[in-house]
Amino acid sequence: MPDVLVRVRDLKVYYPLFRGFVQRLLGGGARFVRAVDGISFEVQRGEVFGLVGESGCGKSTAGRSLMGLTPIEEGEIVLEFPSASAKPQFIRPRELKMACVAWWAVSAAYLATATYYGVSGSALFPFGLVATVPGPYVDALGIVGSVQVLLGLALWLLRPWSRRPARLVAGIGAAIAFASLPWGLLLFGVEVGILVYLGTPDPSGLVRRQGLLLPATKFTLTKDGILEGIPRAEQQTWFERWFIGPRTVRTAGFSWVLKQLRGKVQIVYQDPHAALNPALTVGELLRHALQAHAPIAPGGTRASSRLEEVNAKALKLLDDVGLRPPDQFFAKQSTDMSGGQKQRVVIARALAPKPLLLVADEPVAMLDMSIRAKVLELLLDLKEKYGLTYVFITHDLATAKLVCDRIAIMYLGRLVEAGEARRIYADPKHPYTRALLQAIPIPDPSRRTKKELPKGEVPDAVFPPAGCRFHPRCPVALPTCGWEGRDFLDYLEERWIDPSNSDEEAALGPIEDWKSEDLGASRSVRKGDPEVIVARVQAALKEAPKPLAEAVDRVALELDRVVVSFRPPARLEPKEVEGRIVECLLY
Amino acid sequence: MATVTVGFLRRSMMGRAVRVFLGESKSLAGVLVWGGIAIVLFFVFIAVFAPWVAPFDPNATVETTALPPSSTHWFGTNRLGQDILSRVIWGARIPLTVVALSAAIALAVGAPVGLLSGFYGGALDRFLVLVMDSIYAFPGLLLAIVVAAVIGPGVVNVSLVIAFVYAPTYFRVIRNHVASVKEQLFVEAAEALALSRTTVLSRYILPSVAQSIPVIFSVSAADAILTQAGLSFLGLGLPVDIPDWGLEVSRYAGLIREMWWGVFFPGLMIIILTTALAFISEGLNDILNPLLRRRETR
Amino acid sequence: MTLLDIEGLNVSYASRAGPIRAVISADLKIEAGQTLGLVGESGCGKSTLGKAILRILPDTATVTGSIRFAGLDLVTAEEPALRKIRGRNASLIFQDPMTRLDPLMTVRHHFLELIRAHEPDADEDDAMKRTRRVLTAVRIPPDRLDQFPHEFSGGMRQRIMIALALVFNPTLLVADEPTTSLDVIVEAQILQLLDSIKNEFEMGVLLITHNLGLIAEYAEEMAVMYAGHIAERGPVRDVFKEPLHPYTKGLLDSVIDLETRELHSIPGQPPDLLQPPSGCPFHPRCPSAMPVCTGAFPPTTRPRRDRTVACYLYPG
Repeated sequence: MPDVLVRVRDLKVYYPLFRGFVQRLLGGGARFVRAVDGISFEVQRGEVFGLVGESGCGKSTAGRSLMGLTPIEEGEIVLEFPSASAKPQFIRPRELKMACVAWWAVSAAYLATATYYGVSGSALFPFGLVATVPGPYVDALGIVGSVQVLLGLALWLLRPWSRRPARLVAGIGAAIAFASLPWGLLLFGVEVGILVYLGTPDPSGLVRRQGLLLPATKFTLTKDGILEGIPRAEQQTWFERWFIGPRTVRTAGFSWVLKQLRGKVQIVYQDPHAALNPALTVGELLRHALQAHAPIAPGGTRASSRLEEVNAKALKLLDDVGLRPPDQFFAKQSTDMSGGQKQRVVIARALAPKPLLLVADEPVAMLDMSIRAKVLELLLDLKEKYGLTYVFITHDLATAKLVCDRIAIMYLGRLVEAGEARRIYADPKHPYTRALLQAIPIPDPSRRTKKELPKGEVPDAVFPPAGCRFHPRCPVALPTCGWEGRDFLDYLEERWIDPSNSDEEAALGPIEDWKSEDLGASRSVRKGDPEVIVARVQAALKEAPKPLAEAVDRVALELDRVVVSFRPPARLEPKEVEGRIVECLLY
Repeated sequence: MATVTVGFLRRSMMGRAVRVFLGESKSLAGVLVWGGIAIVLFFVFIAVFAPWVAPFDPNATVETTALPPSSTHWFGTNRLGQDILSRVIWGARIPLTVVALSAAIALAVGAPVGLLSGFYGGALDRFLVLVMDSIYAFPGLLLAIVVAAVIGPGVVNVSLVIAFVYAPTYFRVIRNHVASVKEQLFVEAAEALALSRTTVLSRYILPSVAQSIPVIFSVSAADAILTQAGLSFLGLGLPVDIPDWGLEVSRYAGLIREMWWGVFFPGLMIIILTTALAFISEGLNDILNPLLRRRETR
Repeated sequence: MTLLDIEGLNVSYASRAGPIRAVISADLKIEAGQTLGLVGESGCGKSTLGKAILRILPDTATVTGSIRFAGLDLVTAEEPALRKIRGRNASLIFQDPMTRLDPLMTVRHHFLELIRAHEPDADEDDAMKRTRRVLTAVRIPPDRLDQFPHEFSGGMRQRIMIALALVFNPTLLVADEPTTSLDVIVEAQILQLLDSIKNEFEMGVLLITHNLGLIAEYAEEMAVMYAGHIAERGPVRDVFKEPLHPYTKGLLDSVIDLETRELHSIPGQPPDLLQPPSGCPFHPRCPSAMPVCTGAFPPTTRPRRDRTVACYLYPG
């Protein structure tokens, strides 16, 4: 039994930013929101793993990527589950079912044509196709039709369908049809087409063993979709490939493997109101989830597709999440329930496929204070009862402290600190973790303290700061943390809020005249005396925070511009510090 | 039966819309909708029961010459001595049939294509949007004239022509609506559960989208009546002997000075019916759109 | 000095299903230079109360009782008088600044419009001088005046809202969940800013929030609302040390902070405002409910100095 359930390696998730045509022409190429920008972590079996951070830090994206709901730019996620049942599962892919039906339709058409033609002597097919066919041929059609109908029935019973009988039937069909005339050939061609298409390796093939299917236990999610050695193109149907274009992991949709994955990993959303379809009753919502993931019995029918069984399961789920009496909630519209009750329905629905890993994305953030604890308790109870592992996503360090065994703190797409929750709360190492912990309001009026807060806000994830992403706000930053041109401009702007610096603003400003490019910031000196400007810049830098001032490489005149350039940042790598991983140059 | 209806009203999204809409009868929007529906129903009634309602045979010559409105011939008679009131009553059949038929065809084509196109997105969607937008950008009547000239006259053909012109409206509205509903969290939640596409489309997306169908219907129906009348006026619509408002107007347009009643009454009917349909669409828009907005902001 | 004195305030909304009583005979007082924290769960009427003070409720609302502020009774005051008060003597900050800032107007325009609404003949230079002063107070670079709201981050927008509220040196600031959509660090920044501004401008602040932690950190007085009623009122320190009303106790217990070891919650669901429970609306969830609780709403008593509570556990 694997102890590590999830292994995320250097995961990057970028969302393309929608930009108009003109913008793209002007701004050069596509831009991306780097929602997750290179994170690695592992989730142990049976633990509560917390992903903590402010909004926009990528924690939700990271959580959603675990179930293949986001595109992956780089890196990989490996999910390995213990095989719950060693018993092989039988499947009946939709395509095979459709092929059966199509085959029958073709056969029935043969048969009908023959019968009708024999009786009335007139053409059945439009455009007079069949009318040109001589008499004996019709008899041949009749024979082919009958044979194929019988074979179709036989195959239907002989499920699971393996490729061999399919080819056999095709062979027989070919022999008979070849003996006849062109139209039989044409129709036969259609049939062969269907079979050839079905014969291509489909994703479910990767777990296929002699016609049976073993439940998938290991999933690798990468840029190319969910795969084990099968390229993305082949996970698509030809229709999608031709008409819709390459599919992203998100739209990879409903291939068998994705469905297996989502039976193992489920998600609880922050906003239960938005996550529940207002047009359905609670019972229907649960039934959909249960029916989609009902195990398939030998013979191909879903073992528990019978309505009463599904309803009984749904009632059991409602009872498990504490919606009692369950039959009363079963018929309710989700819109007629309170927030806490809706969230319980969301949880029940997530449990329907019997997942092993539950991604809880801020499950209590939208709920009233007085019922949050109830829902958290429920989640912890269900963990024991269902043997779940949680990835618990939250912005609230206090909640994370209560429920998480290990936590990872994220900032702007990066993991800044990760390790055992106990250790991190006892002694946070990363300046950002400290800032977060300090910002939590203390519900005790007798312990009011003035907080030393980091300045500013989380920067734009389209252009994250160089070096350590927290450096512009960090109270203990070093000169090597990644200072760059725009930090200098931010400093100037901040400085000029103070009316006493207005003469400096008059000499150096306005801020729009400055340009920042990576490590440098520059301004044209065509207005004003270059020497004065350089002197002013140096004066401003003298009063700047030490790390910023010390990171400046030089202030110089280049052609007609004054340039402030910074030294390149030191390499930042995650390091192990006192039993946890920290990404900070202090260590 | 009653409980079934109540259940429908309680449960479905459509039912909710209907419920709000029933409760809305006192507001201006409600009055518009109910007024419009009453007028349309009135026309439907006279069209269906034309043989009993109409005082005369519409094609029979009952007078020797054109007479102005009188107590026997309320709307007067035309040059052939036919009773205009009867022709107007019988004439209601054509526009109403054409509207119903064309709306049904346009809906049957535009809605599913829009649904699938919006749901799947991608190159096929972009192509369809391009095609539909090109059709949409064409002046409706002009396009109808071209198509009508190709496929010839007849009630079914006219309906096909009008459906061809208005299917893009259904397509556009539904496609855009689907594309936005698709982004909602409950659809992602359905996807996260790996529900089948049929379930997602029919139970998660369609109920939200279905609300916009009555609005498009009433908008395009008013237009369809005018287009049909226009086609008839140009002689592209129907065989000449069928009583039809547009045809009547075209036949007597040149004689408006000598016998104003020949043009006035059929024309008036066209105006009343389109106005009634416009009332319905405006009212529905007012009632349903806040409903949609309210759902989105909550 | 009592800045705002609310007595017996009732607000009810007309709805299809009957009137919804959002605020029921509420009494509150705010002193100058003081922050009153109004705390409660969603739907308890705290926002309605805040809006009732500035009379910016929707048309379906009916208000009775009295709100004495700036020498007027705001319940009976006419619209022109109210308009003078709004934004000038009393300002409001909302949860989501983006819904109040016009995306098509630059920041400069927002300020100009506000100032001109109250002083139609104010000249632009003077208006800009005042704008710069308040922007400096909230630490927004004045050179960003010509940018549009969407070019600012969430915290910056909220700062702009605060600056807009401060233009006329109001004596009362109603802050309705001002930081709910912000992250903890920015939340703390904004509230520290509000706190310092309050001291600087000698304002009274009504801080409406669901977060008891914020009340503990930034308010002097507090009032707890439940289903439209003010359940308990008193100085923050005293209420946190010794909560009297069982709801306050439950709410304080259910706060999750870094020192929480055990989870507590209040049983049951928040009440349906259309059909509130009889008597004390909290009795179905109350651990110390008595038979009398189902009868009539308990009278408000004063069991401790400076504190009032509406509960049968504390008879007169």
